[in-house]
Amino acid sequence: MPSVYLDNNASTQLLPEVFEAMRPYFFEKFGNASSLYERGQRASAAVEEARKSLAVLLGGDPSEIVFNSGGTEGDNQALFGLVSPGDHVITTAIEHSAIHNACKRLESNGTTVTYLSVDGHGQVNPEDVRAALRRNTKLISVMMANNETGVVQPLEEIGRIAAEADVWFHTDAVQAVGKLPIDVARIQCDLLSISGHKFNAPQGIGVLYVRRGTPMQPLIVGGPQEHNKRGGTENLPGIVGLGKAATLASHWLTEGGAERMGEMRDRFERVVGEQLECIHIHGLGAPRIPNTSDISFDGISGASLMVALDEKDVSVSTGSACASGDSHPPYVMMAMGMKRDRAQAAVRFSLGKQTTQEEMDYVQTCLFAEVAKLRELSPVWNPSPQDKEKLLRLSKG
Amino acid sequence: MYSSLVMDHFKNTRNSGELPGANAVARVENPVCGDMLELSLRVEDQTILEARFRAKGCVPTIACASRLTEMIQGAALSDALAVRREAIIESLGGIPEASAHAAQLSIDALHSSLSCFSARAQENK
Repeated sequence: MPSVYLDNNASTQLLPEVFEAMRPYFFEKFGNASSLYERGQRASAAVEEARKSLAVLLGGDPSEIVFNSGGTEGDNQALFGLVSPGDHVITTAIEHSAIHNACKRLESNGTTVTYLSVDGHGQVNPEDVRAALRRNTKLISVMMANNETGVVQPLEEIGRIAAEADVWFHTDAVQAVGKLPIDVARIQCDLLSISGHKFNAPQGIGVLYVRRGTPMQPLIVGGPQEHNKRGGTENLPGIVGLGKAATLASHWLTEGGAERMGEMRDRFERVVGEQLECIHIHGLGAPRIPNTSDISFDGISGASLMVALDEKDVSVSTGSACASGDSHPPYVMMAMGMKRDRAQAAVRFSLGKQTTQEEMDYVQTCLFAEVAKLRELSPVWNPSPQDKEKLLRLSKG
Repeated sequence: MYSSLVMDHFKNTRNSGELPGANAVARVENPVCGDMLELSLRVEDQTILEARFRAKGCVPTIACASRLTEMIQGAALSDALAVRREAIIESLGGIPEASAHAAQLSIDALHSSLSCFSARAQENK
């Protein structure tokens, strides 16, 4: 079995059609979209075509699409472009580090930030958002889907609360884009960040959706590109690739791609639950993006399991401390009220459009064997005699 | 990320499991990352005749424990107590700096198990 990649929440492979769409814009169709001669105008037209595709994917108007370098830049721009010292921001305890660290920077500059807690599934309660509102609340920022667990937040309700309170509303949709239908009008968000490399476009390109009338200051100042919202020569091949990926994602979603992927993920979880005892699927029962399965395996370390699977050419992820070089447990798990041991025992499997059932079957077989071996080695795993026999059988693969 | 020696000890652990008849046993835990190591020794005539380990933790934790048991099995107590974490790390071809706690955990387990053995020996006198 060739290498199996189940870390699509980290990054996704470029689709061949995306690469083919981009290729000419490195060579014969190369140009600067701001140049006034024919070559430049053709480049500009390609940018505008991509802009339309992104508007279709996100539900906004093309004039509201701002191309940038990715989700981190979009998150930074949403926060630093809108919030001033003395303002108040509401966010959650489980946001991506781009939001977290930007909020920490805002706090050091005189902004107050409320970090809302989440429940055991990792969802924020919209009423907590309402309760946190102050007279000086400027912005609410709540991610659409969590990168660790895949759990989706109740954004429509939060959007309603933001609208009623006349507070700007941003969502980091980096993990959700291309996996769930997105409609900025339904969510009533004013700002939305996405990254191309999470849905088969290249790394280094993304979009910040900016609702018309949102008084956001640019983060990157330079030339008048992107209607003065983001300076810098446009990444022409990247934008074309992003536009193509957006078109493909829109088709995939309307043709039932998300449902099929969800079924494959659900089947994986069902089989793993049947074979292995004492596992915990995080976010099960809450709405999730269809590709993510985050599972804790009692008695072992997620970091070890990740390496053991890597030796079998299966790429997965763990937020476990040792794997990241950070001694602290994964903060998303801790925010969900998880004990440290369970948080450290978590491994994330994130499927991609290219993932096949054959690959998932192979991953299952590897997983059962490696979990069994690590549990046999563990001083805190005490199986019953029947489980011991099963463990021995599984460890022999 | 890890040396071939570390990976070998991870995939093919030496001396793992429980030790019936062990008279020096300790279980230690890193309070920050939660890695845990149980070391079981059979000591006779001031010599470690057998050593076994069980571990829950990252790859370096498991590899260091496995290597430690090789280093101390058959060793005199005084020699075993002289083993330093740097020696474990060097014999494994190095481990990432952020994982140095793994080698320390092995040393802590060794000292703790031998303290337990000494205490018991004193009681029996």
